[in-house]
Amino acid sequence: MLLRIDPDSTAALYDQIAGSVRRETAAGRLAAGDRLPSAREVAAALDVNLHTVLKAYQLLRDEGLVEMRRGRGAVISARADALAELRAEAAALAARARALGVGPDVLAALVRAAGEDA
Amino acid sequence: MSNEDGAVGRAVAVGVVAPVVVCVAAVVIELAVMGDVPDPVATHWGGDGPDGFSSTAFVPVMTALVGGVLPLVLGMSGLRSLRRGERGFVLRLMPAIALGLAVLMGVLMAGTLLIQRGLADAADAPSILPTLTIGLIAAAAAGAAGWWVQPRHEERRPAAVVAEPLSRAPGERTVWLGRAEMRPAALAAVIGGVAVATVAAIATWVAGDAAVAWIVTGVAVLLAVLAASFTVFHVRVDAAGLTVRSAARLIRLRVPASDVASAAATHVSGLAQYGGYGIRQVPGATAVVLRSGAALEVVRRSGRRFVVTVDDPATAAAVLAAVAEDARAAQD
Repeated sequence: MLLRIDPDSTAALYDQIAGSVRRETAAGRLAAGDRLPSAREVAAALDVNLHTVLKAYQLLRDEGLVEMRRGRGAVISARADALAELRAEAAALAARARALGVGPDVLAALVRAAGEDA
Repeated sequence: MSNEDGAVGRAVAVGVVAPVVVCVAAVVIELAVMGDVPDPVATHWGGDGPDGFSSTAFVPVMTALVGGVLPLVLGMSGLRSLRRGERGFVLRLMPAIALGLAVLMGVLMAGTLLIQRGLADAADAPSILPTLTIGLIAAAAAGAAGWWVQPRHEERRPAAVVAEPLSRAPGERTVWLGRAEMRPAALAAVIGGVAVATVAAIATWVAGDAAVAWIVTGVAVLLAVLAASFTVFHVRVDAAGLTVRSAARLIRLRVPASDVASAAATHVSGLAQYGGYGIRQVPGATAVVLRSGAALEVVRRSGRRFVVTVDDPATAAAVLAAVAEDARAAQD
C-alpha cells in the first residue's frame, strides 16, 4: 500500500492518509477483505503521531470504507468493490472530459454537484 | 538462444533420467532377492542391532516413494526455469541433489534386503552401518558427478524491471507498506501442523509419560514460534530504506536507503532459484521467499541482491528508488 503525505499541504495530515487509502482502493490495489497495516506501523513509517493515523482510520470507518475488527485491526469493507465497479466508468468519464478539454478538478466539481442534486 | 549450453538436456539426464534408472535398478534387485529374505524384514537399526521390522513388500514401495518420487520432484523443480533460459547455482545443484538422494536411498533400501539374504529370522540381521557408509559415499560421488556433468552456469535470472523513482512534490513523504505471506493452502498446512502438535502435547499430558509430554510440548511450542516467525513478514519502504520484519518481531532484515543501488520488480520461483522457502541465502543474494511469484528485488551497492516476495512490487520499487535518490542527494 502506497501512502503519501505532504506536511506543507493545507489539507490535514489525517485527511491525506485517508486519501491515500481511498486512492489505493479506487485503483484496485486494495480490495475488500484486505487488512490495513497497523496504525502504529503507519505512524512509524510516515513519522507522524499515532493519533493522526487513528483519526484517519476512524474517518475511513465513518465513511464505511474500512471496518474495525477485533483482533484483525482495520479491514477494507465490501464498499471497496463498489468503488472498483465504478472505476471503469470513472476512467471513461475522465477520458471524455480530457477530450473535451475539461480538467480533472472541474470534472470532480461537476460530479460533486451531480451527487448533491441526486 | 537460451539453451546453447545444453543445460536443459544435462539437467534432465542428471535430475530425472539417472534417478529413475537408479530407483528402478534398486527395486529390481529388491524384487529379485525377495524370496531369500525373512518376512517381516528388519528395516530399522538401533544401538544393539535391528529394532524395527516391516513387511518385506514395504521395502520396494518405500524405495519407489523416497528413492524415486522425492528425487523426481527435486530434479524437475528447476526445469521450467532452465527452459526459460534462467541459470544459476541452485538450478545446477537441484538435479545433482536429486541424483545423490536417489543413489543413497537405492543403496540403503536394496542393501537392507541384500544383507538379510538367507536369514530365517530378521532379528539376526547384521549391522546396517557398512551399507549406510557405502550409500553415503556413493551418493556423494553421484552428486558430485551430477554437478560436474552439467555445464557451468553463468548466473542468468528472469528480467527484472528496474523502477524509476516515484515522482513526488518537494517535501512530500512517501512510504510503502506490504506483507510477504505464504499462499493460503501452505499456511493452512502449517497451522494444521501446529494444531496436531498441540493436540499431541495435550494428549501425552493426559494419557502419557511426563517426560514424553515435556518433549512433545517443547516441539509444539517451537513449531508455534517458528510458524509465527516465518509465515508472515511485514515489509516497509520508508525514508530509512527497506525493512522486512517477521510478524512475531523476532527477525528484522534491513537495507538502508543509502545502500540501495537499484530497485526492481521481478518474479521468483522459490524452489528453482532459492532451493526452498523462508529466509534463503544463495551465492549473491539473500531472499525472503514465502511463495513463488511477484517480488521486490534490491541491488545493494556491493552488488549483492536482496529479494522479498510481495504483491505490487513495482510500486514498492518506485518508492525505494525515490528514497535511495534522496539518501544519495543527502550524502553528496
